[in-house]
Amino acid sequence: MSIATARTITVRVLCFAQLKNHLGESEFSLVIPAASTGRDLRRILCERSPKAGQVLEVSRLAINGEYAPVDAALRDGDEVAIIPPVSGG
Amino acid sequence: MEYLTREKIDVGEWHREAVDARDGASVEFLGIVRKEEASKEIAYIEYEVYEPMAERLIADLIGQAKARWPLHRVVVRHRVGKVSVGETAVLIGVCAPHREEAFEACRFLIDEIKKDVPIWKAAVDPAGIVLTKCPTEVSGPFQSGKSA
Repeated sequence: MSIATARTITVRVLCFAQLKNHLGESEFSLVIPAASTGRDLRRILCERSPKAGQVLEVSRLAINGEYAPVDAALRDGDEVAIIPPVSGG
Repeated sequence: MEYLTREKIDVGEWHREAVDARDGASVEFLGIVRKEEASKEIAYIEYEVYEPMAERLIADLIGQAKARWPLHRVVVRHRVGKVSVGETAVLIGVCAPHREEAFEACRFLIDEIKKDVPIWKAAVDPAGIVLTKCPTEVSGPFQSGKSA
């Protein structure tokens, strides 16, 4: 259950690769201002860990499993994955 | 999981599948773990995956390939977790009536998987040190990082 007020929303953040190392966790819940975008989330994460800044800058955003533009609006309950440059295949 | 696996990839299983009589061409790509990454010796690669999204994107790519070329059989298998030097990390197999479409479709699938599917690899050297790549460099040197 999310703890949201009229002015905040709760999102589930997923981190991978170098970002997981910098932020110290692979997934966590975050309460952020309502009407936040992916860009706002990126800034919040950068404040949480300045070392993650370089990776955040080149990472893509996925909301509920779909790539999304960085200015996409976030909603209460969203699962937001920060996708560093991929290296599969 | 349909396209991701923690088990060794059995290429023979793909070879043993029944061939469609309409197909005159079968092309496969095997991605194999080399003993070196950026001129440094490694022991294995660890693959990390955002599994639900990776599964869905691979399914989408196969759908795109089938819409673009007349493919009758397609297989994609990508390892998750530890893959040792010499082991197959990814298998892509495509069957089509003619070689041109089989080659093109196989190339399309591996290129798009490498570009978009949320999979990350970390190379680990024989001492257990994780070799990390500067995230802002596409082809920059690896740097020694933390222990595995």
